[in-house]
Amino acid sequence: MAVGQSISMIDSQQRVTGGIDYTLNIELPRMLYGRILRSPRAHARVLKVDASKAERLSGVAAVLTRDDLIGDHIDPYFGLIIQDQTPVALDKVRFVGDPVAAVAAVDDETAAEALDLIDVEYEELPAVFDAEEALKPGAVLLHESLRRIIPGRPDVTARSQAGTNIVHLFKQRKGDISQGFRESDHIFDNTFSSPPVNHAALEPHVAVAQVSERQITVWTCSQNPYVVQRQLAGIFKIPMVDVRVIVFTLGGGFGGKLNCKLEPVVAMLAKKTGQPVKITARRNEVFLLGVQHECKVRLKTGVKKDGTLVAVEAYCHYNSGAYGDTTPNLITRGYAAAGPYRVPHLLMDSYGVYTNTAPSAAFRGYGITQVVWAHESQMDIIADALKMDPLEIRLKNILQKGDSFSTGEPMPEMHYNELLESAAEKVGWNNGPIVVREGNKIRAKGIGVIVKGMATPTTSTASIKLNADGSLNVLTSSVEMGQGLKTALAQIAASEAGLPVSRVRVSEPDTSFTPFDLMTAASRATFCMGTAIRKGVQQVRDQLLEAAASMLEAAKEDLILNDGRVMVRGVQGKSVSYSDIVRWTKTNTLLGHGIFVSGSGPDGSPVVMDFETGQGYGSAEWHPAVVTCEVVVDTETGSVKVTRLHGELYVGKVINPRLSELQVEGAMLFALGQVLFEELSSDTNGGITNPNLSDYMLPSFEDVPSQLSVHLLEPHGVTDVHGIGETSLPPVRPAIGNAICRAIGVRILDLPITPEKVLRALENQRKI
Amino acid sequence: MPNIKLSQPTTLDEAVTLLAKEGDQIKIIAGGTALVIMLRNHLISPSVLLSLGRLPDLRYIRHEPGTGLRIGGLVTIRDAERAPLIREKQPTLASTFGKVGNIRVRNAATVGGNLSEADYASDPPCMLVALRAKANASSVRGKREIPLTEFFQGFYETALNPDEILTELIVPDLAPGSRSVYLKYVSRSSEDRPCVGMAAVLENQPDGTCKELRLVAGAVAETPQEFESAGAMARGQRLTDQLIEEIAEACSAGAEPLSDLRGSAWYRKQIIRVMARRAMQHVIAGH
Repeated sequence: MAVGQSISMIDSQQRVTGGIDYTLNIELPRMLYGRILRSPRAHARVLKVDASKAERLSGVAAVLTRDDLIGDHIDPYFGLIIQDQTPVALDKVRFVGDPVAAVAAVDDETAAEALDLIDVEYEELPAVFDAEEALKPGAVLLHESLRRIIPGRPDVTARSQAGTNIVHLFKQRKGDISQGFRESDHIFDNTFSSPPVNHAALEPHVAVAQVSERQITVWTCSQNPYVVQRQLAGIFKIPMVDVRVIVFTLGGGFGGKLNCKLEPVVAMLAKKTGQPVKITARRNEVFLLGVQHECKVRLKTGVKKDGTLVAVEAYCHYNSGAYGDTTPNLITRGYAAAGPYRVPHLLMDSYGVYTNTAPSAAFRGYGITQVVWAHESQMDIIADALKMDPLEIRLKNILQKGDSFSTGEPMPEMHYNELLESAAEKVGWNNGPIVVREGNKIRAKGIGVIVKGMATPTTSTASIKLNADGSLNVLTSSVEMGQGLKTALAQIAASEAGLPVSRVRVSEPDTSFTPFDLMTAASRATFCMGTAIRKGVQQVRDQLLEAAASMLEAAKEDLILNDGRVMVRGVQGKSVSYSDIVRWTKTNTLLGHGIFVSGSGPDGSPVVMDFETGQGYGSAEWHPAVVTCEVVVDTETGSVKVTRLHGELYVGKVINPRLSELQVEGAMLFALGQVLFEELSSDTNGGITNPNLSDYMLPSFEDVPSQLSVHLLEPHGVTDVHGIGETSLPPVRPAIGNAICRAIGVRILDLPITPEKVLRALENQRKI
Repeated sequence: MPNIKLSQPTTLDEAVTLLAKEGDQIKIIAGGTALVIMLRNHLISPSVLLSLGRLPDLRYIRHEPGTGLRIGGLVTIRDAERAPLIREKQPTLASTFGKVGNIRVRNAATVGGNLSEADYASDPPCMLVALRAKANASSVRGKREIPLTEFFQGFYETALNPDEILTELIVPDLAPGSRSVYLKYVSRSSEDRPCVGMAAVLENQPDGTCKELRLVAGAVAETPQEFESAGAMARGQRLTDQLIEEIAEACSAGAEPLSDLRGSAWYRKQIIRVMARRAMQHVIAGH
């Protein structure tokens, strides 16, 4: 069986020989090159946009301005949930980098030159950069007019109101918070912050558009082609059938390539010029197309003397930047603010707030990362104060099967005890002292735990085509972006179809041919699309069995599928090949359709949270993980070296063990820089000062811990499939933070934990 | 960059003649690792690029007794890092070259380009100042030698005249029994530029007292910073733990570092103290 085997990525050969067709490589006849003029102001009214000089420049085909957004043929507003964005600025710019105009020209240099010729006049407005400042009465408003919210989101309609900068507010109320604190022996109150960081995918955002008489075709590196299709249809007021979105393999996504980014601008330029247009984001623009939500979490926790958690009061302020994008969904992840622990009394307010900063985007870890940093750091603060072992206090409070989560839902078996104990053992938690001093270096261990939800409700569909020669096409809109999805889906299809993986081809998304998938994100594709594919293949199987039963004169129940043949169980030599069956049916092709819709939690209850109390069900699946680590801190410089990093996850049935481990390793290394040095810095005007990969540093291979390990807990006989892409990222941050604190006795509450912050904290400690 | 003319002379004479003629409209390109970034970001806009790539004679590494190492300006950083002759005569310098950027950068960037660019956050300059290296520059007016102690003059500014090309780096041999070290301290990724680079050269008297100590910090100011006080405090003395601590403290106290994304001035002062001490301990211990 292909499932459960560590086969290589099916596109590994192409990956290392330059054989992958990235969107970046597309060239079309007569193709023009687009550039975007971006605002130098954080907040300003646009008084004038005069493109006449630019239009006269030789080689310029068209300049897109707000004048093109007016008229009955167009609805310029788009946005995933709140339609608050336009392809170029209509009346205001809202961050340094907001698009104001765009040029299509014969080459990139000419387009760049034309940008300088566009005359724009601004009337500067006061700007607000901090989420809590933006909530204060009298704060300048980013979006004054009535919000346009997509149907089906009464929660957002109720909370996202004109006259405020609130994008959305999600609340949880459980038990009685006052009683909870009264019953507590100790109360801990800390505020933790996470800065904006960038996905920094190696491949920048790229989109190419071509408009023929009726159809708009867009090639784009998108994680959700169907969302792009729907939004473009809305903008151009045309049926979805006339918008075709094609996606090739992505050079990394990490949440940064969800929803519309360059597609509306490039499509409008293509329409205006009648020629294909390509826009490739320059590296500095990648930083303007979406950043992780900067976030502050105030966490007040009441505990008993013995370490039992009693009450949690949490306030999360997620900075949405200039636009809403995914924020209304993301901030509901405040539901994890109290962690994977039993907390009878809970009060949680999670705000998404507009500010004049670069727009936020989904980001690997999706809003959970910021609250994990808070609750897992504070868990160690509590353990220290109560002189408890960090492992012990977690084991004491961790959710067990049937325990009620912050949403009130009973949790399924999460295997936390095994995960915690195994992860601790992997770094020698109970094997020798937890802190070792070696001259000016101190070595210590740390731990972090997470519960991660999945986007729910959620839909994936797939079409399956068995060809006349017995080979199988899987038509899917799920996106390969380096995570190995094509391989995992091929393994699932091959296993279900009784075919070798080499006989299966997994498509790339093309909305004209491949059926709907919500998105390739939220650690959902292997589970959701994998299930849809299985169901689709089952339909093909049924047809094979039906026909083979007649052909072999055997009962369907006695037939088995193996290696492209249907055989009669226990009867040697009595079998028929798939190609013979297809020929026999005279159809030349057997078709199957798989649909997976999940709107219910693990126990079958619908996933809906009451928007006054946040009680209900939060996710179709819950993903648990534990990360442990060992660090060495140089007390003279404050620098931190992570020497061991271990991820321990429950992911149910593992489709491809080696690829899964690699994906978990990748997620942990992705987090490494975010703990120690990654941070977008900005000047007083709100402009990002380090939008390049020299000033915004990423970890290098030399930063990889010398002991990097992963263990996937896979109980015997387990069949459920869990997502794996994100879960191990968030706990890396507090695990390292906790290890550093254990080493030097001072705690940094604001990420990243730079050597300078560590040294300052040590200096302050020496003074006391 | 369609409006830039590329000129590829095949002799040094041709190159310096062109340079003299075009004046400030011309920029020299060797490995291009720095220049291309500057061009792309519109920090410079020359009308002519003078490529040194076809000059035949600037890729040598030689050793002359009495003079020391002679390294042609077009030797790549990677070749300098790996050259057996440099590893034998100046092992610390070879390893300093090995700390520049990453292997992809080192394969393209050149020794002459590195010095001519004069980026403040680069590894080799402070080491070369500590080694009392010299640069040879050529122009239509002839050839001259510039001590590296006088070469670096500010951010991206050197003693080179606009019509001069850096053709050669000369690194005098260390006196017998001398020891040297370069410590690169990074505050972010391992591949980052230095937050503080610290070069040390120590020459002892036969009796074990210090004849000469040179400590030079890189990446902390516009140009490599030599701590004159360190030399003065150490001369004629035995470098005891206490004296080392005092010298390190003096280096830190005397420094006026800059602030950037790699660390504030305050932080750099602390690191200068630590790195100065560690560098002295290294050269005393001889490893």
